[in-house]
Amino acid sequence: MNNDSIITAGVDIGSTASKALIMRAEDVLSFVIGPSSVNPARTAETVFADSCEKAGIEKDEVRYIIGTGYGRAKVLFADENVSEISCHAAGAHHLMPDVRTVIDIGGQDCKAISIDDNGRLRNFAMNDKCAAGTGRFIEMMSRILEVTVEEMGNLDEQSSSPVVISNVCSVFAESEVINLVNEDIKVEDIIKGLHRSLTNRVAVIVNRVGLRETITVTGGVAKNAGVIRALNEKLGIEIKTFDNSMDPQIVGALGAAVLAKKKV
Amino acid sequence: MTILGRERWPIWEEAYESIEILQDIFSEESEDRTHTAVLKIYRDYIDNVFSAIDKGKKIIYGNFAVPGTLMRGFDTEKIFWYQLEALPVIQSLVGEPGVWNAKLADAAEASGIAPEICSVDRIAHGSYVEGIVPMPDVGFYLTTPCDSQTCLVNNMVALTKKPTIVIDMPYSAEPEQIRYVARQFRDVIAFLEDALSVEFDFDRLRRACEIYNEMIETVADWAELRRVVPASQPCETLSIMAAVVTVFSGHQNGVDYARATFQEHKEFIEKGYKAVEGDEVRAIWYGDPFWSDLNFYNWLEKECKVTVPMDMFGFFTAQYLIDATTEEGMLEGIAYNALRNFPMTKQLLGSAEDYLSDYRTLCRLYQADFGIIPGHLGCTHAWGVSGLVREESERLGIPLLEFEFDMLDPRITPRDDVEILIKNYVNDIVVPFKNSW
Repeated sequence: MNNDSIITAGVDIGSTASKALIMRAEDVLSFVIGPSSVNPARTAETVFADSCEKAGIEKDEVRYIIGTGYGRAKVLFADENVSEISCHAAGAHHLMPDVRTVIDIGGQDCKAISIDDNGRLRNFAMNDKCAAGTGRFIEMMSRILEVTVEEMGNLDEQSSSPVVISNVCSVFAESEVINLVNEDIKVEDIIKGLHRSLTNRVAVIVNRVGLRETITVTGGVAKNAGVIRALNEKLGIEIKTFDNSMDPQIVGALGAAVLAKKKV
Repeated sequence: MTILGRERWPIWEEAYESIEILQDIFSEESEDRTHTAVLKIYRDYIDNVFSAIDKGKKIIYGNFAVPGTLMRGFDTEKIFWYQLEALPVIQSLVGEPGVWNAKLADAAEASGIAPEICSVDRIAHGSYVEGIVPMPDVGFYLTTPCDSQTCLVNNMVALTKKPTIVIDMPYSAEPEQIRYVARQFRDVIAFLEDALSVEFDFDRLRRACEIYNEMIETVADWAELRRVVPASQPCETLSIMAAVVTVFSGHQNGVDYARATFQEHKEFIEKGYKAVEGDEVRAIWYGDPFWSDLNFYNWLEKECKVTVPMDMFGFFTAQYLIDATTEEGMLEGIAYNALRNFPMTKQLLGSAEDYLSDYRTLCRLYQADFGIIPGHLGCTHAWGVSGLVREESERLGIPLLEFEFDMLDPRITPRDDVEILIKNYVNDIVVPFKNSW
């Protein structure tokens, strides 16, 4: 079997979403994103099976599987487990070789990862204790505002007078948003304020590893264009995004598959 | 459980009981000289606390920066110098990880101390307000660059309402400043002689200085052994060296501990013991020890293959001997030590270059693969210069891990969380970096 026909997989079991990606050589054959559950082992099997089916291959055709994410120890069929930090770095570097800073904003944590000129990890910083600066923050606020997370990115663009959300804590920010709603502040202005609040928190973590261009964002929150705009504004640097064929939420699983390829 | 035949405050009794149990365990393990020695000296210390109370000795309160050697110039049959941070340290060594310390930190907060204050000082304050430490006759404190220490000292002055002397520690340790501190030591001696009706004896001080020097020379030999690759003695030993040297400076127990630690290390090297199986990853621990749970260091070695050949506090302990030939030589030597060889005064008085230079030296001398800044929450001054250490580390080409935690209160960052972070950092950053050389 030559290298071009070797199939590898990455299975990323996150706190909110679980992802699997199948790769042959440099090509992504398929990927699947599903919700995480209380049974991460079963979720891992499901997303992996679905992605194999989508790619039109049998599970045993996959030569090497790497499990990653918080639930990586539960990817029982994986050949190896690798931390999500390494996988997000590898995935981002694979897609964007000049990337030097990766911001991964997941459902319940946020990481800033610094990569050197050779694609190796230099440093990382993370917040996994506080919902501020994570997808959970956006999710909580979308519920109060009665808009979907997807709609928030578009509504943000319509804001003409964004509010300042003064509370860093998600719980207090929730009360603050309820007050703003009661004061008849426009939803789009609240949303833009929320995106700015989130990115203020993210910027602190990014500054801990040192901001180096090129910079990109991975994780589910990267799909929110409002957050990306707020980050551009806050960091004063244009965030480079992946092309439309690549979902930023799958970058961790992609990195796992890329690292798996190096193992065979 | 009784101590010296009487029932005492439960926190002390529990510590004492733990020491007795551990002494039974370690007496059978003759190789483990360090644990045996540290248990003995802390048991002695507890005995001395209650013996002082029972005998009605005059109690002098002091903060950790008070040089023990100086206090040995007084007749220890008549006075007892109680270091306010002693109880938190003893609890860390032998108590159930974090339990009592957390309760005492809460007691301090309930009495009005801000949660931002360093947990060491909060716990010391909590011990006082809970009435579970000997009550003082006088206070003798040194200023330090630490806001929390300043808060503790001021509180003790206000709460105890006892005669107190606080001496000023200047910015640098040039000859003029050393003489300035030495002159203040003379004021302290006069103050304590007057307040307690006890005499200070320079011959006793000379003997204490000689004991101090003996301890320091042994610690220096031990520090030299810690440079050996691969590491052979567990890093837990390192984490308590500074505390022992500080509390027992000028006391025979300090010498005994230093000798035991050195001897153990020497034997381990001779027998070819390795602190970790396989390839070790060497880290410089540049900050407060993980005192909320000393077993953490065993985990570090076993699960991460990380050895800590030297830390920030252990490094400076063995740097200066006291000239014991004259009165001025002794006072100035003790002054120099108080200015340069105590936690925080060493690192955070004077130029930040001192702080960086120690880091550079440590990384080179001890062949560090990476540095760790364990960011103790209450240590605002250390946070103030952590960015400089980060830059220094980059210049040295050594990865640096920084994280927030509390050295005594495990509720701030649970040990599990620190473990996950360190494991990820070692696997993701340090090992690949080391392998790329």
